[in-house]
Amino acid sequence: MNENKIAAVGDRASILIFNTAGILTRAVDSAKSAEREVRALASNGYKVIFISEKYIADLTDILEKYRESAYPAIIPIPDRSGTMGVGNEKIIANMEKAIGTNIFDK
Amino acid sequence: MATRVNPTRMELTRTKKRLATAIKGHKLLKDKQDEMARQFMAYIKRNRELRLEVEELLATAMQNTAIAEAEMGESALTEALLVPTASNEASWGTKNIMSVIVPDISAKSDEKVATIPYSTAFTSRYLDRATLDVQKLMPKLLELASVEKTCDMLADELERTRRRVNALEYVMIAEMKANIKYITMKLEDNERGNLTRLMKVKDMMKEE
Repeated sequence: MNENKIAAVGDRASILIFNTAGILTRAVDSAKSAEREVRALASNGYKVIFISEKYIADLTDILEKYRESAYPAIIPIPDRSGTMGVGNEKIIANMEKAIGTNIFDK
Repeated sequence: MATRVNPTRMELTRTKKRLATAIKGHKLLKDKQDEMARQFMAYIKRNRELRLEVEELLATAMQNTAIAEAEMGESALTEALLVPTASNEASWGTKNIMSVIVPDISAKSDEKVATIPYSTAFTSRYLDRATLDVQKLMPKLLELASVEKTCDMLADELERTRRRVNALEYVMIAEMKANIKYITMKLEDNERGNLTRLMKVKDMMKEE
């Protein structure tokens, strides 16, 4: 579907449910294949790519590449085993980068 | 530390002009930084709220899917969920925050009623719950995506602006002020030297 511009990448069991919400799902089982999928989706014009938290650490190249452009937004999401706190860490990192200190209570 | 400059009037005028420009630029950049920090705070707060909410709901939905899988078996679950569903309608715009182009996503499916795309005859009720939850979560997920990307971009730009402001304030402006001081002192010194020389010559002429 062309007008569908949202995708989710992660292990099959965690992202399968996104199918019902009109999100394209790409099941992967390793960081390498996750990177390949995200790269392909990004160059195919997908605007938002949700990715399992555990793979985000291996995507620095792609994140760097799209750092300056508004799209695609590559967003970490928790998988079925719960959150590892990657999203929250990212918020705190951004905060420290921008303001110089973390003003949210821990 | 003042770099070596020509202690001439021309150089003095030039440096003074550059200093005025640098001070103006510094003020503008500082204003930009302040305003951007204000906007960033609003976005990062929203980002945190959304993330907490989305992560909690997603975890529940995924757990429900896991229970459903345990009840129905992997192949039945995959079969139920493979049915293509309606696409998400959203507008993918951009907006300009202090000359940073950030994504502006608005979901159009706000009022859309959540539907179950598979036959409920052989599926687990946990799957129904997970499906409805995820569909209801869509607008929030999209907002999270746009807010989080905005925060990323604003944080980068803020860091860059802060570096520029600091470089202007503590390097360029300080250096130019030191240069101006050096040139003024050198010129005054020359002036005094000339004056003394003149007085000396006058005395010598008187004695003759």
